[in-house]
Amino acid sequence: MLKKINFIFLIPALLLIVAGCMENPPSIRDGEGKLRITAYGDTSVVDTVPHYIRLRNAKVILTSEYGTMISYTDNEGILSIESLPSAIYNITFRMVHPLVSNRILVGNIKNIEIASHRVYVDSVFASPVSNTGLAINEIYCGGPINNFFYFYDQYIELYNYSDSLIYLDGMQVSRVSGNNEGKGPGADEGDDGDFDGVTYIFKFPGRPGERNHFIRPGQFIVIAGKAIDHRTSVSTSIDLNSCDWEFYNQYSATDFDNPNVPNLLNIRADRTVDFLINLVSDVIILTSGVDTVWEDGLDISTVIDGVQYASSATKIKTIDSKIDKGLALSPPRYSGQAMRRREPGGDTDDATLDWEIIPTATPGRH
Amino acid sequence: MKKTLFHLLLVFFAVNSAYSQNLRLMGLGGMSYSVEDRDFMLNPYDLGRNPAFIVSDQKDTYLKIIPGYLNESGDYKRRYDPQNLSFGGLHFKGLKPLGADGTFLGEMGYVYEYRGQVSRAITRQPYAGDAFFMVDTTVGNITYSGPRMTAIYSWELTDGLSAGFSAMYCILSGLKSVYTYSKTIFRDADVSAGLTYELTDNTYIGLRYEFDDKQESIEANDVNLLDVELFNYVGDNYALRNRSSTISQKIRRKTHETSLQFYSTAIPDMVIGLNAGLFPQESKFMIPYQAIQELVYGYTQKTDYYADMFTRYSLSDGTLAGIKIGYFHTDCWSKNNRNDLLVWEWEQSTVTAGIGFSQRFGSVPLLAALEFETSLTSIDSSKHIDKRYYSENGTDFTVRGGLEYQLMENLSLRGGYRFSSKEIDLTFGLRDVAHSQFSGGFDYTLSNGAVIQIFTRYSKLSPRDSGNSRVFLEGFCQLKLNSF
Repeated sequence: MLKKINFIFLIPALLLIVAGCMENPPSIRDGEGKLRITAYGDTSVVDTVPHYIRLRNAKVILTSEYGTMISYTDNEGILSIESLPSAIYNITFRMVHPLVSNRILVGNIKNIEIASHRVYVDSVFASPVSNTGLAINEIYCGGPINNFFYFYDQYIELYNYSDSLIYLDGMQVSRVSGNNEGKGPGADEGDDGDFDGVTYIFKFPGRPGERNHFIRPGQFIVIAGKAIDHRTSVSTSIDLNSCDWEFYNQYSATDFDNPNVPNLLNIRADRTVDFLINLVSDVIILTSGVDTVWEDGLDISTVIDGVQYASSATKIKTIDSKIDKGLALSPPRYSGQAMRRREPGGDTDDATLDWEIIPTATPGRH
Repeated sequence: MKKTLFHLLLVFFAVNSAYSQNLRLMGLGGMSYSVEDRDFMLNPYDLGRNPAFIVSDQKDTYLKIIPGYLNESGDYKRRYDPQNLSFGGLHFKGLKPLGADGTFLGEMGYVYEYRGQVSRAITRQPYAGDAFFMVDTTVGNITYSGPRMTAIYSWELTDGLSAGFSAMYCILSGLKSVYTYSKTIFRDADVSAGLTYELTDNTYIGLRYEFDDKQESIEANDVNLLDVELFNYVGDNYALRNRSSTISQKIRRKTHETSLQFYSTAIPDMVIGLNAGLFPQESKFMIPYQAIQELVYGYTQKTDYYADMFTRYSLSDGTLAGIKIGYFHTDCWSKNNRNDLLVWEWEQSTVTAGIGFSQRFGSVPLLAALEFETSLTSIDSSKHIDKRYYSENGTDFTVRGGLEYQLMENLSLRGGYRFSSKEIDLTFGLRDVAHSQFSGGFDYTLSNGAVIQIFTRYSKLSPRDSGNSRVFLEGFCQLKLNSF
């Protein structure tokens, strides 16, 4: 009988042990993040006094660890979303300037925490993007779809988003991947007002101030690593035979030169290899060419545009914040994908928000 | 979510049930409680897999050799299901009574599993009630293969009190042969212990505890050293993107099952069997974090409560009646582990009642059996992160019928038909789904010490208002040697 009683007591004891292993569910639900942001834009053109209007039906790009989400403000210029997953968000508001069609109004909010149990309420004040009028618009560097490591169809695309001609004479395109012992590529080592780590530097013909080579308003120009039809090597690649410019290293014994395409020439005689950039992670900087002494770094004041790209948003940004405040996400290697600005020339000096990955390269167009 | 899981792992369980149950009842249309069968006596081992009862239940030495095959295909499937799926396996099962030292049962098998045209999924069980999915971007074929071993030992501790334990180990290696070339090591280790006690003459009570630990390690690594890209979905719409030349991820599942069995043949001509239990399971979804650490980004806890009671009564010589009453309830919730937020919660309850009869005719060597079951199911699902809410009730019914005819002294033929109608298919959310099964087989006694048994089954699952369907075809052969 005692055995029977012992046995019966075993049952609830075991059940209690098993039940004790169980957890209670959290009381707060994911997916209930709320935000309400009113967007204003400064439409003053010549006045120093800002003139704000509500950004009605403006495009809103929300980025977080879950990727990118596109939304729009309503007719009152208010962005209201009620079911966001909890995360840290970067939000950018963009709208074409109502008075100047080739300018955009941009307002950013960065690193805001949207949590399920709170409502995030804020205002954003967008301002016209004011800069040089010339931007690095697209970078294609990861290679076409292939499994034999072909990536020689790289190109960099520039875009003139101003309303006047811009002369390219003497401008320099640098690949900045050195300075790894210091603050990293593109950083202002020593805080002396220049960026460091230049590994390649190629230059348009002429000198700054000369007026021989120009880019028209709204024009794209493509600078190819090799100006050939790459489809003859890899069928999934692209034709760069008729691109606008070509990087040509005159110190290289093997670099191919397409005689029909003008060249950007190497100004570092110690570099004897072709112009190539990293497939997933690098820094590209376009400078005016006023400063050519690259050994001690190039003056940040001469920078026209610069972008750092990386395969992961969590990679440490090294490019100086005066050149760009963000990091563009690069596409996978050998995927045939490219990265480019969301709007042609849309440059807010924050690559995280300005750039996106596109499924195919679009040289010379957007 | 018993029925849902039944569909989710239908093939897996079908194969394992074929290996662990008997082919005779499956050949009779899947009859169970209304047919008397040596391997389904409603006792603690047959109902609740209590290893302690083997010493009382199994008295004869045997060795079973069971090759089997199963295939399913069709477009009635979910997003991450394979278009077609095939299993092949060879299984050995041997039992040896050791007299006063107890009884030993050992099983050894090898499984080959082919999943054709798997859309994006890289995990072996993408639908297991969790809110998390690990996927890539391609459609490809995945193969899994590996051994599975089980050992059970049972002995009588004192008069009327028996103990037993079992251990199972299974390891499968898998490969998705496209793009990410995801390699999987699926490991399943399981131990259980049980006690049975004879309360009065022919009345037993049993207690069983089982601990199961599964781990699925997935390594995506492109053979061409290109980048691979994986997405770890939290819910259906939001995913964490992971890109590298090599990505390692893991899923760990642990279960603790405690169950209670009751078995009595004390009342003349009546057998009563009961199995009830509590079955909590936790799952962790892990991704790499800062190179050397692992981050648990998803956590799921699922708890099943179940109770099934069977009664078989001999109405007259050759006529049996059986009754089944069952209850099943599941509570499941998933949380985003990084910020401790509830992602999905769902619960399901099912009440089942069934009745059946079998008649063994005296004039001709024929057995006819019929079972009818109905179940009421309610489900409530709230996928908070996706703002998807679902609540539904449905009634299902199942009819099974089977005939067995002894053609010769050493040859018995059997066939069966099973039809189920589901008002709501909880797997896909469609209504009025019909499931038809045709099964058949035979026993052929080769000699006194050897019997060969063949079983085959064809079934089709199709919703009424859809042109889609899913077709299953399986076949098993069992050679039973009574001495070896």
